[in-house]
Amino acid sequence: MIDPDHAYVIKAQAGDKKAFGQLVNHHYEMVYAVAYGILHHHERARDVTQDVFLKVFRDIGQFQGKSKFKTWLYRVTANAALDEARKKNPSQSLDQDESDEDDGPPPLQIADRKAGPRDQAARHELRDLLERAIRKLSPEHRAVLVLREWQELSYEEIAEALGIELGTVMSRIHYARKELGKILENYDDLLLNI
Amino acid sequence: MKKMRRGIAILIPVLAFCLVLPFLRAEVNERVMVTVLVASNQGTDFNLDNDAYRDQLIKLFSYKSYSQKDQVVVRLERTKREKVSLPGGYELLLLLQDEQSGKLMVQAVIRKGETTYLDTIMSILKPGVAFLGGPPAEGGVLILVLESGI
Amino acid sequence: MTRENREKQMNRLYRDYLHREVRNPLVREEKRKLIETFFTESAPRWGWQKPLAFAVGIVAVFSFLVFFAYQHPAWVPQSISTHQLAQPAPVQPEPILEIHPLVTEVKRLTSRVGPTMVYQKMYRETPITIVWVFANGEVL
Repeated sequence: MIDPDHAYVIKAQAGDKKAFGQLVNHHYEMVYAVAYGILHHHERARDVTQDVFLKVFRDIGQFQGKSKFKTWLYRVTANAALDEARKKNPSQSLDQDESDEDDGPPPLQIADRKAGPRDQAARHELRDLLERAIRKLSPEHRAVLVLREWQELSYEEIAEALGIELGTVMSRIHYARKELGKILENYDDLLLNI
Repeated sequence: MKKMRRGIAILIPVLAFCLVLPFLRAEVNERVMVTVLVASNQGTDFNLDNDAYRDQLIKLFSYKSYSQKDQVVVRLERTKREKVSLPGGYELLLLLQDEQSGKLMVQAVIRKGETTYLDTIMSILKPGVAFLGGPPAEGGVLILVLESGI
Repeated sequence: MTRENREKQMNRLYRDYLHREVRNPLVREEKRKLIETFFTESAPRWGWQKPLAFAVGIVAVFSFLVFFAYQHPAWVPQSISTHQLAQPAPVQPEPILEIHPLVTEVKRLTSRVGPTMVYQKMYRETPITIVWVFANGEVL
């Protein structure tokens, strides 16, 4: 399969900044989404995104084209975001069970869902729950989740991007989904109507 | 004389025990860990305890979900057939056929009622892993992981 | 709601959540700034540096070849030796090898429900044997 970024990569390797600008234009949102998915913080995700593109431009001569450019970008982004996450929480180990931080989901305060504004309130409440659930996951779990659910990478691609075993990918995705599901399983009615 | 008789009386049982002991030790059993999985394409369960062969499982089989149902250590003996209950009404029967340095010869039977789904006599290296699988259960298939040398 | 449906709903919520974040106008603005700040200068056109470097390279290679030619004597083909070549000893066929110790032996493999298969592969230092029965596609 031909890498659609190939032509721009070749030019960028020759020093063409404008060509690299095209790559930034194509992939910025993807890089940002991965960084945000892991860090869950706008400013840090923005900084990591910028750092990633600057680093990739600096090291683009080392890209040999054995994989797609996008795959390489995923790898650099995920690692950069994970490094950034670990700077803030150096003691947090991989796959740590964060159940000790669990203070349980807040009670849902919805009286009546028939009217429109109340539906919106319900949606807002659910989003809050989801955000809270995501925050409880470790950065490593968030990394596999965002690459799988947002970027729709295969397990093999995720394993390659993160430099981990395939089984570890599957295990982390299973755990992440289970944990998110726990928060949401008490609100089946809410999910059905949204 | 009395002391001599007493000494002989003590020595004979000790000697007899020493002669019998090697035969007793020959009945030593072998331990095999049996992990019971159901593999399917429904959902994305992946809750195996043992990481050692987890990635091999994914590479060997193309299911989306691997759910561990049970894990037991079975002590195999030559004269006694061990039974492990499996999901879906199946049972696994294991019988030690032979034991040599470095490998076990084991008969493994997966059956359901009167139907034998699998009957094999195979060697399992020590340490070694064997996957037995294929019988349909719980919307997927059974995969049994037999590990020796544990 | 079944577990699968809940999972699908949850995945959709997650994607919507990230989608909303990515579509934030701030993100677009930050992208524009990044490109404008660092990646708008195009590659320099062909100047005089590259042809000069090329010419210097050619001269250097030529000089090396000339230097090398003067340092080594010309190769003269050697006459073929008239010594008789020693004949290698005839190879005796090896006796049939014993089964490799890491290969699994299967003395019996039967099933009443369908065909069976057995194969083996190595996982690091540990051999894995797979015994499979194809139970005629039956799913309970």
